[in-house]
Amino acid sequence: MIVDPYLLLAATTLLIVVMLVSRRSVSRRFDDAMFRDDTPGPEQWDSLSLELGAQIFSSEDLDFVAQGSSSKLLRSFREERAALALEWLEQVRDEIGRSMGEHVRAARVSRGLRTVDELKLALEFALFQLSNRVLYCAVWLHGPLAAGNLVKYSTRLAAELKGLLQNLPLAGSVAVEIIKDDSKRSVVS
Amino acid sequence: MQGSLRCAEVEAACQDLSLRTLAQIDGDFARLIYLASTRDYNTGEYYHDGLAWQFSEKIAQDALALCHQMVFRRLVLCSVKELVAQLETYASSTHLSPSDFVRTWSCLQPYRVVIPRESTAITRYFFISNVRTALAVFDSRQVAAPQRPQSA
Repeated sequence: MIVDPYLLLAATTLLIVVMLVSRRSVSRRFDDAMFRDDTPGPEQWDSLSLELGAQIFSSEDLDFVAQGSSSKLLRSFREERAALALEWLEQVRDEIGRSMGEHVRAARVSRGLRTVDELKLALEFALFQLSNRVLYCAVWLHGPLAAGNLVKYSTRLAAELKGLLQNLPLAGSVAVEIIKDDSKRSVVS
Repeated sequence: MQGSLRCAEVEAACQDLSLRTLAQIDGDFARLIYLASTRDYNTGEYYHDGLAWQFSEKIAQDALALCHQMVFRRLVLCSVKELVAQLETYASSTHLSPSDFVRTWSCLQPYRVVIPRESTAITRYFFISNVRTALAVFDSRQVAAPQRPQSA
């Protein structure tokens, strides 16, 4: 099947426009949201702010509001939660970035640095940045509940894959060989 | 040494306040309203004569601030369902009809001024969003439930 490149481009552009329009309500709410205020005094981040993550991505509240509430209330609640989730992810990223910046400044003048530890930290930081941005995109496109479902889906897939690998005799024997090989190496070392 | 002694005094004052006063108040929402009402709008400081007399004014202020933060924390971390139940308990203690309570709260939005000063912007917004939603759910339940006749 030959696909016209212009048609493909037009379809992609249309899809992006539709996505942007559908997310406009979240962006609008996001702009006038009060968590963008510059009230002096409180810190930008505390332990309670971190704990909010579990609440924001939980489906419990959304399920409750969906039961017997008007569609207007449900839509408004969804939009607020999406805006909160995006802001939360951004603040976590900023906070970790700030801590990393402080570490880098301290590391520049430190003499007792261990290369392995620093590389491990850098790798963890890169992975965190990547996962945070992927989650941000997922929330922006489908809301916090969908992002939470993404995690559940991934966990379910992992469990299914594990079950499949255990049932496959070849994969099972390979896994046993790897384990045996690893244990031999550890005994030698 | 002096710091830990002061900390212990604040803890003791906090416990005293919890046992003598807060335990008599039904529900965390009512406790939050009470604790916020002990705070001066202009200075942001807390005042409680009984507690200040028993400990000291500064210790009383710190204990009130600590209790305020603890109660607020509990309410922020509870679900919308629990928050609706808290609101219902609080509304029933005001001797107002539920519809009058919802109307006043929706109009004046007193839940905005009961937030501790130390709270971060995202926590404040989360709390306000949850209370607003809980209030709407509470209101919709009142509309759906059959009206009870007013007692004379």
